[in-house]
Amino acid sequence: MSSEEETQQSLPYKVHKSTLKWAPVFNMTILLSIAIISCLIRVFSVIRYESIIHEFDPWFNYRTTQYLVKEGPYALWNWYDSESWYPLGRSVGGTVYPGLMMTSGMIYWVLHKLSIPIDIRNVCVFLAPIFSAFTSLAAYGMTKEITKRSEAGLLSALFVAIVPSYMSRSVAGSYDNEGVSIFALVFTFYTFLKTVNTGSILWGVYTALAFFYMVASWGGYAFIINIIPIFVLFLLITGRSNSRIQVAYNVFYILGTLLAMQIPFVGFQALHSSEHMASHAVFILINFLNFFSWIRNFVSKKAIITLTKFLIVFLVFSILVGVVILTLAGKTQWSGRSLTLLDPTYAKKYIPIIASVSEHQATTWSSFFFDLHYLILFSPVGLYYCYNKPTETKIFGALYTVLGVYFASVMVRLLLVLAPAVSIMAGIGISWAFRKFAKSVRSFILPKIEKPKKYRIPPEISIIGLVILGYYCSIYVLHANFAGSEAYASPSIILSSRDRQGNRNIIDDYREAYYWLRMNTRPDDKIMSWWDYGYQITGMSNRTVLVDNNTWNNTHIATVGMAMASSEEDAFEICEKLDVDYVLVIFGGILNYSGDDINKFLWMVRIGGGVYPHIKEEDYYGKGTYRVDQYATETMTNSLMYRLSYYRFDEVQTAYGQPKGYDTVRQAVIGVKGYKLRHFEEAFTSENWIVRIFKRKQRENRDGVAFTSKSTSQFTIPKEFSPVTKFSKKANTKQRSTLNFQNNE
Amino acid sequence: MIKFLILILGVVLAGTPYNQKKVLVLSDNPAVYVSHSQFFNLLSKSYRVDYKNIQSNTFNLQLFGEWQYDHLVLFSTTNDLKVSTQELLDFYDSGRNILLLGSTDQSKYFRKFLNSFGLDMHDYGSSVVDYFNNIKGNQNIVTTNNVNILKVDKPVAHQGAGLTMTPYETFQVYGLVRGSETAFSGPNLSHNIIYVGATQGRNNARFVATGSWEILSDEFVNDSNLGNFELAQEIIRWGFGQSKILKAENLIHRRLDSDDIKPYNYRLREDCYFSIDIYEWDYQKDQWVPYNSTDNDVILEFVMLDPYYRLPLKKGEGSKYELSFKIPDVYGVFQFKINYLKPGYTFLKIAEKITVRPFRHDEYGRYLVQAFPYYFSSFGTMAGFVVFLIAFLLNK
Repeated sequence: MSSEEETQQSLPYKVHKSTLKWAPVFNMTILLSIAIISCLIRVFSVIRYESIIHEFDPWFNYRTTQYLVKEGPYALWNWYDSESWYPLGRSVGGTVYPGLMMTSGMIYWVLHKLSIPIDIRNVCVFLAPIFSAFTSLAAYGMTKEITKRSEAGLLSALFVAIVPSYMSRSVAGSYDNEGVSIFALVFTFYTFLKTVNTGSILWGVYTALAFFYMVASWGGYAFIINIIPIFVLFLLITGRSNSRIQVAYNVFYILGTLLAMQIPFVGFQALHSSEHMASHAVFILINFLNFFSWIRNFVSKKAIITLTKFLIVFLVFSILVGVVILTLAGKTQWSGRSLTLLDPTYAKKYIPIIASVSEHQATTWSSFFFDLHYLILFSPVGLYYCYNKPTETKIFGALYTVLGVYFASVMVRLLLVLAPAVSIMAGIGISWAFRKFAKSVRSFILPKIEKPKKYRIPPEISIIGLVILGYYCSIYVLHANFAGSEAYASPSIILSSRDRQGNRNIIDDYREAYYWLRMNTRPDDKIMSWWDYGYQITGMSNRTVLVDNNTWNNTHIATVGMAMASSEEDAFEICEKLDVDYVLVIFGGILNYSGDDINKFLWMVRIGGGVYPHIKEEDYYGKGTYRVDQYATETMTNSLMYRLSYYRFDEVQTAYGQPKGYDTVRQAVIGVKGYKLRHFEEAFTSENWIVRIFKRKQRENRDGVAFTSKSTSQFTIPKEFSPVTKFSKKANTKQRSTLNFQNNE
Repeated sequence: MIKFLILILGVVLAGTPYNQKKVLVLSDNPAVYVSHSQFFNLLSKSYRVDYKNIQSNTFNLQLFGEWQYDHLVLFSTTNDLKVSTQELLDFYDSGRNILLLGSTDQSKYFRKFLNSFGLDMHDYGSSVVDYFNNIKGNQNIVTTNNVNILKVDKPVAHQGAGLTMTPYETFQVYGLVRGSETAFSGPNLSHNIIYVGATQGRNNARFVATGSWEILSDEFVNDSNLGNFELAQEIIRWGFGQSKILKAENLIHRRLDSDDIKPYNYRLREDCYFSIDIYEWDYQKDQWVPYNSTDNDVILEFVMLDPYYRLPLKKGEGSKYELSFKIPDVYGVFQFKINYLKPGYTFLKIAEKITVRPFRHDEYGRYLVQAFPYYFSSFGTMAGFVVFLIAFLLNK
């Protein structure tokens, strides 16, 4: 036996050999476990609470899915929903991304065909966790296309599977578009990179199909339709373009745009909206360059120069003219949300309704770190790796990450788009570091196989490095676990608190109130609330609402804002005009629940004031700040929102050592006590006062008739005499704010 | 003597059927039975009349949450009622009717009460004077022909205070009998002097007030030259809800070309048919008869936030009011609204909600003439591609 054979027989070599042999099996097993983990970590919400649809938008998706399952796809397409946006209604089929509903509908139908009688609610609840498993598989594929290495793919898959940012939108019950569309996003990129690598038209078709699914499920598809042209343009400018890129882009662009037009909500926007302009321009450019290089074969060099000059002038001129004409004619325009992306201060200045949504705020560092954790430290390593030895796919990964970082810093919700990019980059970076360290350790243990290089890292440092990286990775896993089980598990319609003994108390006011509405009001009653609760009311109470989370009509929302911000008398007129039967307000003053309507009230004032200028924000500031105590302004304390929220609040003691009527959220004693409501009556208040429902009374029998005459007032009035009505001449002659209802369609 | 009269009245009342509507008459002076005997006769023809002294505690308007009377006649005095004005107003707001016979020296209590119906009594002690339209040259006994809503042909005599109306715009307060052009009362000029005023609540309860007791007293009512007898009749009929009572029923809307009544929804730009039956109560025949509106004034509104249509309903056969129109090119939750506020008549407020939906995906035209260039270009491209393929493959 030679010495070489001997070393081959020693244990480390044996281990090494069999590891290599079994590597694909390990690979698959690990990938499968990652997929399972990504599913399981999202089920904490069901374990801690119950199988229920979360938050706001998911309630609409759930209701739509129920409709789809009951009535079929054509009915959904033509569904005109008269229960929302009363009296405007909403044409659901044309204003919805049906991908999510169709997906769960398909699962439901297939399972029922297989005689598995699953409830549609459970399909909806568990859809996002299942798709997160697919996402981790797609991330594995995408990373593999970028680096051609499966260990990087595995790490990326793990990071994507448990990244808290993605988890926040895909826990069980979070039945939202993002749940399936992040998978579609990553999968589209995977297939696109595959096309770029292979130059295969077939994979290009797959890309277009994946893109179609993305368009069908989320408005965030605009990200794909912009980043791929940017990527292609980048390659064109840097001179890296080749025929594979041309195939990939042309197939993707033509089929993708055609398919996108099939979604009713997108339709011809795929041609004329500004979000798509980049894709058209790059398509023209790439084919023009192709054509130009083909012409070059036939023309002399001198002619080429003149031709180039002419063509450049012609192209620039025609593009300029085209853009100017389209913009002036209003054929193409940026949507408010897209403009906010380009100019982060845009919404704050012009569209309060976009600025009022918390997920449209600029991202803070704390949420960056909480949602991505150590990945933001690791991903620059991956970026460095990508820029170090660039290939087309690496450039794509790097571009995706850089653009994602920009978008994520503008809007909190776009952290979601960044999360896969950062995870993949971190996976690439860490696996690269691991590989470097492992190589040096391996060459130390197996000197014969690994040929030593010049700048090898010493094995001691490698081991320390491995330990440190491993430690950080495990910290990340622990953090993700915490985020999944605690931070993002709450359905937000069920609240929980811990008492001093550490017991969890479930606060179920929302469902209590919505169920009350469902059982105690007439089926065609109209409920007015701030738009946040619209989807929940239609979903859980099955009652008509005036405005909901699909904020398509600013004027209508402003009218509701005006009603909330007006005095009771004026609000009654508005409510009567809008046929409002009940007014629902959320009040957290007893339970210290800070997400209540008094805290949102300034947005109602701003949005209302944006359309009805007689509502002025400064009228609601007492002594320069927004307050509810004795220094609150008269406009504030007279507003319907204040009156309804604090009705009979002064009769309860909320905090020890504080007088009655102490608001625990605003930490102040309310300014107006003991008032009565004239046009509204309390219909329902939930256990912890979180939801308060008031019924609009009928107009009084002699409203506007009674008055006090001079001849009567000249009489000496006996003290015990009580006035018949509250009306006085002054109150009657007071100029009512002129209501100007518009139907902004 | 008075006690005897009351006794007789009691005997008479005891004989009346129980299901007759009950009227409570409140006064502090039983002599009204003598001075207003004609009025009481008219009243007791169709009602069970219960007389109580204003100051007495022996009557209850409300007992165990049930109103004990259907109508109330008040002879106002210088004294206050034991019952609070709020209870009287509650009585009225529950859909019951009140007739108030005012007087110049009535107490603040009644003035306040009048005020809450949008009417006001002239200043204390002042009475209407008319040097031209009066009886036998007595300028305090004034006459007028200005009678609205009620059917009175002869001039009406009045003696005592006048009323004025609320200075604010409202559709609920009317002057039933107004002073003639030459009447005045202190600072009040003729155009706003009301002898008999009325208020109709949103629930259609009716309130009638006169400026003085005398307008319904025997002295005027028995005078055959005057219309006060008719006036008394009419006041009882109108004020206690027998005449000018409307009801609407049998609301129908459907597509013009279908018999499917009240469909689930309409499509925009569809033709729609609307009809409703409106009846008026005929107190003589004691039954509902078709209501004949004189001048096309039953208006149908088609409303979503704002009215999209405001069209007069056409009188069809019988009691039917109907109209067919094209639904506008807007989708939303619309309402058929009729808001019939004709003075003197029951208010009709009808709203029926319907949904107008947009076109379904398969309701658009399949091939459009103006799109033929596009069809041609797409099929041309396809054909060209095939030709190109063949040429390309054969040339190789």
